[in-house]
Amino acid sequence: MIVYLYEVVALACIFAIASMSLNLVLGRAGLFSLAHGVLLGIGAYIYGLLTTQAGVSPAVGVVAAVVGTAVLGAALAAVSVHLDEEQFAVTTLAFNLLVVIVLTNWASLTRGAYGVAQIPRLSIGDADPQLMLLLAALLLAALTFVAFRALAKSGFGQLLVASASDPDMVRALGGPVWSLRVRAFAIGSAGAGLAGALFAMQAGYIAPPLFELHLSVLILAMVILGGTRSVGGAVLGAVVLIGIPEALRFAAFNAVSAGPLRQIVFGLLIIVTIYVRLHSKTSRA
Amino acid sequence: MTAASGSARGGVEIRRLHKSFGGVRAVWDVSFTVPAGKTVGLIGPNGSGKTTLLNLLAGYYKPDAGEILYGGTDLAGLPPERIARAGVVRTWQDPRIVPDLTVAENVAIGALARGAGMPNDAARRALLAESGLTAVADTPAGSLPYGQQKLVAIARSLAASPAVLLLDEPLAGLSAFERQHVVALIQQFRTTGTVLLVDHAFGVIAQLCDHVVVLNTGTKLTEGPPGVISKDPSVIEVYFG
Ligand SMILES: Nc1ncnc2c1ncn2[C@@H]1O[C@H](COP(=O)(O)OP(=O)(O)OP(=O)(O)O)[C@@H](O)[C@H]1O
Ligand SMILES: [Mg+2]
Repeated sequence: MIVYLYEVVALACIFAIASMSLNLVLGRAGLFSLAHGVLLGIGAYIYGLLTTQAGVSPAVGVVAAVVGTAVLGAALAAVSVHLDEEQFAVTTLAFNLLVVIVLTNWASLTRGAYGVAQIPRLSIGDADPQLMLLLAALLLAALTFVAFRALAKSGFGQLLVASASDPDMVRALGGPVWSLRVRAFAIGSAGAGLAGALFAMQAGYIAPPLFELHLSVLILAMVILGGTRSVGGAVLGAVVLIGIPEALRFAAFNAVSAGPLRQIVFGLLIIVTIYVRLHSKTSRA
Repeated sequence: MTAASGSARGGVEIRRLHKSFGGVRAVWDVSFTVPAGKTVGLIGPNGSGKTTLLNLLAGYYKPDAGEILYGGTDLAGLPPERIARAGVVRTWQDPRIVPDLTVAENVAIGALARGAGMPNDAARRALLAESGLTAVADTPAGSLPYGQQKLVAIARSLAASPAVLLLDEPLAGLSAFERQHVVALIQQFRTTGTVLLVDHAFGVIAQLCDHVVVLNTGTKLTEGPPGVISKDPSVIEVYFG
């Protein structure tokens, strides 16, 4: 029972890291990304493959996941942040689909549909590994909170908000809107990579279907639920959306991982997410 | 960046500028100079091409032909951010403030955008005070009345510490009280900087400007000192008439 609780809290921390980092991308930079879940997946795969196939230590694996995901995110952003919001959303959606296809089919690198198993966790001596992971996730979530709060309040954060609201105005004052957005997306991707590495540790096993579009939508829903303007809100969104299915599991709906209830909850999330997004757009115009 | 002599950093020389939209000759063969350290007024009836000219100077549009010489380089067709970083900064007829950011944050955008970092507290407060915005510094800019939003926009452009300021109808829609603040800001800026001032308030143009250029249907009708322009029969016919 206590191990199960550790697991749920660790998972909430991991998703809080993911939603705080998407909060920078969506809430500050105004970039409606549907790729955050698969960026998390990329971080999970970098960590999982390096530690299981290349003999890399967990600590180095985490750093590699953060840096590698940031670089891939920057590359995606570099070719897409100049697009309008709808085109950007579709491009990131396509990226999500594409990466899942690559993960599934480039089997010599990714082990394809079999996935990556026996992914190691950070460990110190012979401390309880689940407790260690929980403490690591808590600590990293707290650090992420401090870092992204500071970013949101910084001059960089203010420029991102201004660029989302009126990019031509920012450019006319000398602001490099394209590079501001690419940087924001790369930093957000680094957060997704960190969450991904921790997710791989927590799950122990990863496979492509975990990182299909539903994961991106779930993280988006966490950000929107918490209110896109607040980093703390993103944490709350993660806690609620990880907590509810687990509570439902206790209420004896044993359907959380694949069953129809989860599908229904997910469908509702999509509707609410899109509704809130459209509503907040029209109310600002 | 090229530095001109003295405190006035740079003048702008516009040579045979052209810009059409489809069949509309919005700016047609316009030439004039805004000398370093001077304030030049740009007047003309609605639709005469004043805003289009500012859009060309600021890099929002690329000219069909012509040159915009500034400190020895041709700005024509450069991207807006390059032009702003070279020291030529514009405002718009609309305030274009960021509604969700506070007044102080909006003003800071001027310094942040050009990579100057967060302005220090003293500089920030001084600018807010001169703009009459101290009392509303921490208010979301979107909740201010229109006139005050325009003051925010002008303070924001000043926070970019421009050498040349391009102002598009800064007085339009302002109360008499707000106008005083804008006039005082321009007056203070022109002691060290160069200004191109578009406005319909000829009284203020005459008060602030060393020289006035008159546009009509995209072409330059005439130019001269304010006292001469106000008595010019051709200007009276198309503009004051
Ligand atoms: N983007 C555009 N597309 C098409 N036509 C345009 C565009 N911008 C300006 N024009 C046209 O160019 C002409 C000059 O417009 P401009 O806005 O420069 O005038 P203005 O002197 O600033 O007028 P006002 O005093 O009303 O602000 C007008 O006929 C206008 O309709
Ligand atoms: Mg105009």
